[in-house]
Amino acid sequence: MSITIALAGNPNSGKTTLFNALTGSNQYVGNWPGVTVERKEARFQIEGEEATLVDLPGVYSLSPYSLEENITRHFIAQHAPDVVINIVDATNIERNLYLTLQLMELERPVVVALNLIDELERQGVKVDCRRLSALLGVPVVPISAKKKQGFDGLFAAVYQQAHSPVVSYPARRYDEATRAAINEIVAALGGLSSHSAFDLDEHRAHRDEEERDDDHTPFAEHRHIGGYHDEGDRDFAPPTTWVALKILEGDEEIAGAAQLSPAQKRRIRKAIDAYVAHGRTIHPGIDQLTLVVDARYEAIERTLREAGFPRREEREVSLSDRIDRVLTHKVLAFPIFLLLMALMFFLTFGSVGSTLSGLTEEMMALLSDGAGAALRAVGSPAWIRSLIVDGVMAGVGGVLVFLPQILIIFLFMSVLEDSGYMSRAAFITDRLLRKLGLSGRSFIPMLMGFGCTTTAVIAARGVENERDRKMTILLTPFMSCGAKLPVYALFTAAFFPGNRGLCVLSLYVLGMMMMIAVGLLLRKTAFRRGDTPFVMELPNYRMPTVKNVSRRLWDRAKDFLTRAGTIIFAMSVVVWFLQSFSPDFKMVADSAQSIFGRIGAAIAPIFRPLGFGEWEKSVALLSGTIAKEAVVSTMQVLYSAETTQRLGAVLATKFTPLSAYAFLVFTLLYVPCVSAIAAIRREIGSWRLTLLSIGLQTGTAYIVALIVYQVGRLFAG
Amino acid sequence: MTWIAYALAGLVLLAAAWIAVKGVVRFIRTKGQSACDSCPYANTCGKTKGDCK
Amino acid sequence: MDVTLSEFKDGQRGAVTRIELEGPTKRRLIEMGITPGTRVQALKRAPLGDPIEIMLRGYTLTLRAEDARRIFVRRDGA
Repeated sequence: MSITIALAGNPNSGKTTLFNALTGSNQYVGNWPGVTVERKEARFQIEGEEATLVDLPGVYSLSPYSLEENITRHFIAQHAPDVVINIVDATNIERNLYLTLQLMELERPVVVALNLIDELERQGVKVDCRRLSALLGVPVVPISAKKKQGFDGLFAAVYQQAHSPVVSYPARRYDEATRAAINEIVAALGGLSSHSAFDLDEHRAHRDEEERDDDHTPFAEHRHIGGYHDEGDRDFAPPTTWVALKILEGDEEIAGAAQLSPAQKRRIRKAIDAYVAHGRTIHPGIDQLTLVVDARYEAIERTLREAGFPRREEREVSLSDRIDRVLTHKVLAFPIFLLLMALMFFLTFGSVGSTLSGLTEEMMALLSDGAGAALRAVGSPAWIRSLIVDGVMAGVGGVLVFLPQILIIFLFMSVLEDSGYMSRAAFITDRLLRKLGLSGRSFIPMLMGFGCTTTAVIAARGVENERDRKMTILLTPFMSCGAKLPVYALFTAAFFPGNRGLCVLSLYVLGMMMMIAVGLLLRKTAFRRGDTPFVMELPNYRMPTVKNVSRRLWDRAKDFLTRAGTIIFAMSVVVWFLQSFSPDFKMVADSAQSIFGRIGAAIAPIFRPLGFGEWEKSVALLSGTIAKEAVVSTMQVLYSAETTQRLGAVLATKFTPLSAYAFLVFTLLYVPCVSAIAAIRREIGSWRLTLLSIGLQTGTAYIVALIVYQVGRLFAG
Repeated sequence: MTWIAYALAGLVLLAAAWIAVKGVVRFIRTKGQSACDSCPYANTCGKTKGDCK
Repeated sequence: MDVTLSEFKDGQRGAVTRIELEGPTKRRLIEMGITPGTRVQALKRAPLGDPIEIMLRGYTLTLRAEDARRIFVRRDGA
């Protein structure tokens, strides 16, 4: 029988680092909020026993109002793990213990893993874990997740809690008024041993119905307890004291699920009113929630004082602060941000990047020539040579050459993320995003859209307000995705050789401007302003480790090669087929007669006003719906260009710089790849909105490219 | 010696067909999730056991 | 004399007296520790003065100026 262990804690407390260390997995350790929005599981061994470790999203509390909190709350309350490891950041202990108390209130066995102990000791603070443990009533084990220290003690404590659990009742330490109110509510509910006030089965049946409907997004407006139903869920029988506390707090979900009789409701109302009245004699105007929160914090303060923790009142100016003085400076912050972005583009598409891909290109060219020669030597028929050299090698090779550049850009992004700069970026852009009615919290998924729209759409779950989340999802595709990089690299090299980085920067800026424009439009029409709390922590700057960064780059490189070897490979073959055979499946010499040629000829006229009304280009754009890199590989195959250089030369005859730029603009803005569309559909939950997104993207792309081309033509005379 | 060429072509076409069909089926079944599994541009999604639901 | 948190200059300290916010924002902020009686210190501001960073309970927190405008604090020495 394996035990289930939940890992809960504040965001940025080292939870994911601990998870990775314990399970040997390579979960992504982000340095900004909203990174972990799902549950992750892994198996490991503890004292010889099988255990499943579940990493829950980082939360500050267990209220039912955000997705991450719901997931955590549901898992602990309903899935009932054997032990909860609560990772607590020792350098931020007061606020971290707030969650600890809430976890303890659920009366499941808890082990507190006090992380970053070394940090605290470096600041000259001695920590007496045993005393703290005695005061709290749960085991407190000092660890350093990063250095993998203290794990033996942690395992021992977890093992013990799993087999001979010790549960503590934090409410016993709250102030008298709070305790009295809780007792009164507990009595109203029928006493400590009664769970009959709760009938979740009714709720469960209702929920199951909805799960069956695939269109139902589990985390939409309905918030059933926790939000979803899992195998492994036991009957929801929460401790009565917990229910009482939640009712006292004003937790609507629990109060609703408790199915109280009118007499009970009256009794509870009286208790709450008395509680609030009493509280108001000290703090006028205070409400029930604040009183309960305050009770917890007061208990925390008292506990820490008795455990000998000094209160950090002053803030010594840390190195992070000094760096921030520049990076979040009133005037300098924005320009620095833009400069960093520009630097990234220059490195990627300019000198360094292009030199590296030039090398890759030579390699590809050699391979291609070699293959052609070899095939000729064995007397292969022309069509096979065409398939292999002009089809597969051209298509796949055409994408592979850009691997160096993609790696450069991701290296840059990794360093920025790992160092903690990205939180500052969210901090800086919050003001701007506010004009769109969003918050800095939306910036993060948007930035992830920089890599992959699909990921960004999913990361939008971190946005708490449902309306804002949907709007973020609709806007994210305007941030150019990573798969488009080969397209940009190819065209800028061919048409704007002196200004490659600048050109790509201009595209990204254009994308952002369109995002803002569309955002404002959406705000005015469909999406009224939501109430988005913006509360964030700026974690300390960290030095990105070479190990982490290089490992991630390596993973990316592997994935890129896999993707090129599968999707692009298959697509290239399909494209080759479609452009070599006529609709009645005979080989054709002139590809304009082929299946693809026919399709293209039908679509192409639409694009003539944009400057790229030839069938090959239309078809290439069409193939981009499967994978954006396919725009490159498809053109490679269609124009029978064996190498990227040749393709560049061919393109130079098929486009003018202006039409090339218009083409790039269209590529930048038009509909994202099918996987992104599928993700949008999954996350947003309705076909209507998904179609809106598609229409929005394609429409904007068309209009802007049109404007660019036609206005440009005016200037060209 | 021409058989080498034919064998190669056969391999390529077979492989492409297999990838294409398998890819499409997986895509439809996972509602698009499968595309992320080996995507170099994605960060967290798809690389973990457990869903991105 | 009570002032709002947004009126604090960088480095100034005080104790929270009352919070005039509503809904999810209020809940989030008080659960992060901004309760009556809590000691706070203003730290830094973003460009355009919004959001701002404060120190409380041994850690730092970022919040919007418009929210800070509704958190009332008794300044030290006032």
